[in-house]
Amino acid sequence: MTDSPTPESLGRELEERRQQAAEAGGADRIAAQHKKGKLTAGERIAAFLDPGSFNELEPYRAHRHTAFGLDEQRAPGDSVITGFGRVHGRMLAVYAQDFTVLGGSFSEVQGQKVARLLDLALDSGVPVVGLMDSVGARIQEGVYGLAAFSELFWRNTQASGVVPQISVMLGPCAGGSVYSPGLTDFVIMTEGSSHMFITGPKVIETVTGEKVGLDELGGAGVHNSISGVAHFAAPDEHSALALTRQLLSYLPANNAEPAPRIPPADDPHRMDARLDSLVPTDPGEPYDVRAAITLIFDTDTFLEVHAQFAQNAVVGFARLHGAVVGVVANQPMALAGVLDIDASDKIARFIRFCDAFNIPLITLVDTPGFLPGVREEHGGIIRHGAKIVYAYSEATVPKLAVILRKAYGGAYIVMSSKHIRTDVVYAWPTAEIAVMGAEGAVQILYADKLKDRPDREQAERESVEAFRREFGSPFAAAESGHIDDVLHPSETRPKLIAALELLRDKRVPIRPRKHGNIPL
Amino acid sequence: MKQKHFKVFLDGTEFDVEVQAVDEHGLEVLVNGRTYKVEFEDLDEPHPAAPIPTFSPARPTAVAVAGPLRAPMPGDITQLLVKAGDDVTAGQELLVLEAMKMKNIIRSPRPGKVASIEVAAGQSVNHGDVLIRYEDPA
Repeated sequence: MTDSPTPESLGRELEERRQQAAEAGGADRIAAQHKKGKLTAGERIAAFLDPGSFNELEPYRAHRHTAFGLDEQRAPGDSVITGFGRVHGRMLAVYAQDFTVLGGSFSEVQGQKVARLLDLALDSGVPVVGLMDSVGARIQEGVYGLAAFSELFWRNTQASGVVPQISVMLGPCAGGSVYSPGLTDFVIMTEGSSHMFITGPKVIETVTGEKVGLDELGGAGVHNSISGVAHFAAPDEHSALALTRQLLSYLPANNAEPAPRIPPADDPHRMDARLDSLVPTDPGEPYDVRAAITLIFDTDTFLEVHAQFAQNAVVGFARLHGAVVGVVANQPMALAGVLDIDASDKIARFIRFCDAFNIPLITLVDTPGFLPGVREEHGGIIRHGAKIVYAYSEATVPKLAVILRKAYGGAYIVMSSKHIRTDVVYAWPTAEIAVMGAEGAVQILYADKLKDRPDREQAERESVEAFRREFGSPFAAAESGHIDDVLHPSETRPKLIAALELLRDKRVPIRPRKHGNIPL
Repeated sequence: MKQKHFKVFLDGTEFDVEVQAVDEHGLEVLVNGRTYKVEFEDLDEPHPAAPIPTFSPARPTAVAVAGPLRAPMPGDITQLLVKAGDDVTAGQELLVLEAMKMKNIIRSPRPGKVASIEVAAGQSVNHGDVLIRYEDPA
């Protein structure tokens, strides 16, 4: 005869079950994870969320497979922890792959748990954060494992543009499963411990003979600076999680919510005199556009995205009088601030994120144009550069632009000009708005005339000067209405704040269509 | 302002704030047991001498910096700022590449010793041309 259960015994059993689920991978695996300097899935969630705010879902789900000894390796919750909780008081959905259970392998159950979480997040309109640490598909489950992450890809795509999705890479992520982070809005990689690739070093060596290490193939450095797959690099897990919290503070919970605004902490009327001398009057001298961003927007609010990738463009989030904005700028300090293939991709993707999530765009223009060269043309700069035009033209959020210095030719048009429906365009007195730079223009316009002149150099210089007088200031463009006003640089902050206030409730009717066809 | 002791709520977090001293230059406050000095700035008198903020170049990565330094874009070398045998630090200015009518300062992606300089001032370079070799191949 067994004792009938009492409330106490039932409560005890629940506590025991919870304890088992929390240590699902076993003490040895947990110790191994710690030895690598890595936190466990549960510790990561605790470090990431507001204290005590986590609500786990399906902690007892276990797999049903028996092949290759899998029936001996059943753990409550399987290889992922899913649930919801708060960051800065705001609700979101989070999942963490549990490396201590079968290497965090992507299993049927992991797929079902994560899919359910995404469904819930989509219905509730909250962001989804994935803490990734997995060896890849669970091979022993055969096609069930493949089906599992395919379900995730489909949901990542359905959620795209509806709720923000962030992937935090805290371990390996290889093979097909890389497409989930690849589909999400932001990828944050931990230096040293995280790697992403479709095929690993061993396969590459067998197939192509190339010898390459894990880090040089798919480490945080590579994906942040060369491939552009990752948007942020963090030196360790805790800073990766802190960065994710910081990033979330700039994002609305979903596409129906306005971008977050906080009580302004900075003076809206601040006019920093340093801006007036920031841009060198010599058009050949570079400067750091991030200095302009720092001085215009609310102090210490700029969070640069893709900071190491295509550094000739700068994109990121900032606050302007407490309201979140997306900043896009050319960077004269890197590659003269040219637009090239990578910069085009970087700018276009950022614009589309901001537009999808109601974040106004502010563009600071200073670019000598698209980078000339066979490499760029053959690489499809037409296709890539078109993405910038497309993204700006498609965007219906408030759009403001300031031309700091050079705005030439095609680059002038694509960088948020009035012609592609930027709402308000300002220029600084140093602005040059022209079809091309003065020297180049004179070569084309007067080549024949100048060719036989004995005083050719002198005449050329005079023509360049004449061209500069015509187009080397913003006033020609101001006379024709192509820009709205010319500002002292120090006036930029209050002027942008006022324009943003005007446009706060901007509404643009959107023609029904299945979707556009952005050149990819 | 007579009251000296406040409870401040910021993003849901509670701070216990006690003003300890105040004059025209600033104040001293005790926040959750720690003392902070707050300085007032006269906004009618901006400080024109304040420097323009600077940023360190983005951290170079192990892979991006392997091998010799190559031209990041086509242009003309106008100035060499180091010579063979020099020890250089990461971020140090190595040469000036004029491209798109702009002076582009090319910095060292990593620390090392310059083995050789493969270009001369006045020379045109193409994308990917070797500019500088380092002694250690890393």
